[in-house]
Amino acid sequence: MSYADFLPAFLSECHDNLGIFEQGIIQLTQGDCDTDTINEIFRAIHSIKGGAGMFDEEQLVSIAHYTETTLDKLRNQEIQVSEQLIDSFLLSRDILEGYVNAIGTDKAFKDEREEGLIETLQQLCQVPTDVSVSSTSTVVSSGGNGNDYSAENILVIHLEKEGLLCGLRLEPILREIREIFTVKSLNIEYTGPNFENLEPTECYLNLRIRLEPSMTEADLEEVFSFSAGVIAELESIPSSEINDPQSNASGNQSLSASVPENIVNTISEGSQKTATAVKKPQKSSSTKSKNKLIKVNSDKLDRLVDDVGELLTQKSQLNRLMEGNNHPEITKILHTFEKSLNEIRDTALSLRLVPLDETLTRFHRIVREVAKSTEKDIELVVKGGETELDRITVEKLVDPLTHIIRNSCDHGIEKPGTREASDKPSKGCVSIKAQYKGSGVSIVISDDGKGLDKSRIVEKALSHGAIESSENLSDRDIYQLIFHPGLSTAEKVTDLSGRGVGMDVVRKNINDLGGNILIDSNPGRGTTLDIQLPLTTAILEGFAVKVGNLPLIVQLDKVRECIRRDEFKKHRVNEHKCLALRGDYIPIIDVGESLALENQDKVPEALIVDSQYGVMALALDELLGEIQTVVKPLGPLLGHNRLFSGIVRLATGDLGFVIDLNALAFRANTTKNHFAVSA
Amino acid sequence: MKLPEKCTVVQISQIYQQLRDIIKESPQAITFDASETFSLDISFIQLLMALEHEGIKVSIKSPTDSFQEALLLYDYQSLIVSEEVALEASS
Repeated sequence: MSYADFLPAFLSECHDNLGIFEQGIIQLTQGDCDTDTINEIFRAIHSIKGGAGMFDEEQLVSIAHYTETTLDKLRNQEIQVSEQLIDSFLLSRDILEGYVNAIGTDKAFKDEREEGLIETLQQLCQVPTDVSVSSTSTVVSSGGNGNDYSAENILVIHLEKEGLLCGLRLEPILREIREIFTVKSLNIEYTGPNFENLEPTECYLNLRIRLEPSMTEADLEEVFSFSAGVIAELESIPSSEINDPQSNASGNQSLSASVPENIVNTISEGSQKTATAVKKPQKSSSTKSKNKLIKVNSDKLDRLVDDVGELLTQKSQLNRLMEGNNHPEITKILHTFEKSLNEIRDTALSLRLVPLDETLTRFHRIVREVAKSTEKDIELVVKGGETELDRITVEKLVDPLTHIIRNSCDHGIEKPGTREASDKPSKGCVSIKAQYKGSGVSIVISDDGKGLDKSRIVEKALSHGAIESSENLSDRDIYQLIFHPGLSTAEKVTDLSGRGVGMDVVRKNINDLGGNILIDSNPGRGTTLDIQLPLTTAILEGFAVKVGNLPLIVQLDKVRECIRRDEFKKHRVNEHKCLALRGDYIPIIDVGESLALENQDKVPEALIVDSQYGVMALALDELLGEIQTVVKPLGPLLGHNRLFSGIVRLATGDLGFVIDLNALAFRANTTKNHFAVSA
Repeated sequence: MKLPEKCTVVQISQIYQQLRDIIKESPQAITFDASETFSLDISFIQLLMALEHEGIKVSIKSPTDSFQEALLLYDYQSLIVSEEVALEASS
């Protein structure tokens, strides 16, 4: 294997470690400064540094090194958590991420903020020169081993065979040792094969170092904590043997320090320890616990899900061919095949599910930054981070969630003085709560801010031509108008939000994921947005219908009911077409008319569906039935069409378009071809 | 043999291959020109030791300051020789 083969794994681990680092920093901001938290983030940065060294990424090593040094000071309680420290760590995370992203690309990367960060970290590390607060005095106790001082200890470093490939960097350790101690002698023992058979990326070396003053176990812990690829231990030499060079060297090498040139690096087939060893094995390089998790390239998972989707389509074709055929044995096999295929589908889809935790945690940082820049005091509460969603959905959720949370902090939450004047706590609260709901997931973002101003929304919507009149609009209809392109009610445009270019994109992004976004607000009490999403968008469970000759697909979880021709009772309410159903009047959207398709000249059938604008009846020519298939993105010609969100292949071999119900309802609402839909 | 700018684990397989070829021709001694080498790590030290293990005399000429500093970390500075000695060794 070449070194390049390890790069994808290294990059993946870097991103994992940056995530751990960021989460740890957030914990620090919340007052969680225990040793475990600090050790965990220290380990994350140390791993990045080790790996970066392996790939000669000097800038990455440098930033990681300064960050690690600062973390070390924090770990040793030489410095305290402060706003500046948190800001520096977050900046460090961003710069490290930039360098990580640049690895493997041909682009030279240089972050201009790097020098400033290093300067700040160095300043933060400057501690009072109080000798009573030494780094070793606050570290883990040595356990009271009396041999530490009564006899001389020799430091023995065993380099693990795979150490070099695990990010082993011995030079920083040796430098640190030489900064603290005087090296009286250093022996290197080579235990590898003949040169001809050497695998140069494997390690066959042990080092024996005699130091002055003698190293203690506490020193050992301090120097070698989290060192990858290294096992370090102390060999204690009885004082009677200290002056006998032959007794404390491996093999026949002298340990005399007086003439460095005489120090011959030991070459032997095996180490012969003649010293009385008091060994205490230290942490080995394998800092990661061995468990049953494996990393798989996400592209492979995507391919697997795509292939399963294709199989589902083929199964539907097979079922169609078998219709009307009387072959009980084939039918039985087909049934078993279908059952197995469904199990494979569920397993394949579950492989792509990831917990929302990591994504939601990152919003702590956004809230912190917005609070700082707007001089507000805001707390973010995250619940339900263990809820899982399709990886692709989670990735695509980041932007809309970021926009919503920024809006809440920037325009929803008031400044402390204003809040206090309204008998509210000075600290505002934004909460994100994720939970399973039906066959999907609901993510509710709420704030306890000032709420939406209905009259301003209506005023803006009228001036933008988004509505012709506010009559018949429910509160929810009015709030939904904030998703209209270009409509922002923010009194002041800030660099964070308020330009009105975001909420329509938020809605579009959520709708593209097959989800809905519902909004509710209470003046003076706050705003709540409920994002409802399917677990996965990879395989669509849909309902096929036909308008003219065109097959169309509606998401099955949005379908409430099918209305056959003989049940289709049309009425007019306030000049608008409605379907009369068991005493209710449901607004009708004529799909053929909306899509400019030629309807068949007969009484339509209908699908009663949910949209974020409420329940509506889709009038169409023919109800075909349920399908399960993989959705493909629209080609470039139709990519900008907001009414369709994807394309599928049906069992007949025909192509069908997936209708974006919310976009259809939105068009119906705003073009006034149909009356306003409401729940 | 002229050493590259970096003698670290990333380049070590390449350096090893070059060395193998050189040793086939001249198996007694080898002098490294480190005039453009700025960093080394333990993998290079291991290579030096493996050569010595074979009884091959190793010397280093014209080391840069940073190369010398890295050698010093391993107390390996005794390998450094002057230009004259290096010339003598190669002849």
